[in-house]
Amino acid sequence: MASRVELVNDNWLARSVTMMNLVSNRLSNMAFVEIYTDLDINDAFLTQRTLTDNAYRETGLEALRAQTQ
Amino acid sequence: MTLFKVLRFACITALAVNLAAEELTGEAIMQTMDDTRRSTNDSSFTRLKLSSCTFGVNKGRIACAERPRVKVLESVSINHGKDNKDTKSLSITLEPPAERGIGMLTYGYDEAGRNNQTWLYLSALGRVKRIAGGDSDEETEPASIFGSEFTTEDTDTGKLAEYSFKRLEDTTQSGRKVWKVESLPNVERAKKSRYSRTVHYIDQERYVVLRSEMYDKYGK
Repeated sequence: MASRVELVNDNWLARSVTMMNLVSNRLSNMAFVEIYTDLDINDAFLTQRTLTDNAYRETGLEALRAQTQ
Repeated sequence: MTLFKVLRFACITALAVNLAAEELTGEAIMQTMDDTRRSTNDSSFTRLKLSSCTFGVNKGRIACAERPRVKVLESVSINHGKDNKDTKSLSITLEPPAERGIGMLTYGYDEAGRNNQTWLYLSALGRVKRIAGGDSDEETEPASIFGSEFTTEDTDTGKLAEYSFKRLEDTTQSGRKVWKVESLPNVERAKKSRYSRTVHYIDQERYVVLRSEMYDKYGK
């Protein structure tokens, strides 16, 4: 189930999506708290190095956070 | 332009839009919806909250029957490849503190038959684990997203050629006019999917899925 449909980057997006598993009786909700688009993202940031290298990851994330200010 | 001409133009336009909507196939609707979703993710940085719990029904309302487990994530995505239809996305856990640094990297491909690749990093173990993508010799189910009820399959885009679509009757959902489209995986996709059939309710104006009903291999 989707709700809070809003216009993001000229496209409509559901900012809240709930998945109800009727077999396990469990649900999960994914809420998009903040969304920023059209950012300058280095392709190298989306590699396994970002998973394992804490300093590299934090530097990259800080740069992205700065773009959202 | 006279009032008559304006009215005639408006009527013709409305008729054309209506006819176009009538003629849309299930596949065309799903393609536009998929393109819309993909373009929203391009060069994006997202902060999201993932809450999970066991639920129950109380006085006709669905509610958590326990305190939900809440995770806060940051996610980065770009589109690339042919026609910008492939995706790369990375999600990192910020909270709870004990899970900070757990991450998931996914390369998604639009091309039918080409398996997506997913790697999970467990910070406590300091290891990257590749999540099997459903190769012919490793028919596995999609991975859960950070222990939630969502799987990588639920957030995928592309590979529409691996499904057949059938437009069912138009209806309403949450007060909006929606197309109801049934999606059935082909034989190869069915081996890798949790779902044997999915029915999507897609907003006719905004091309957003407002509801999906997924059925497992036993039709439940």
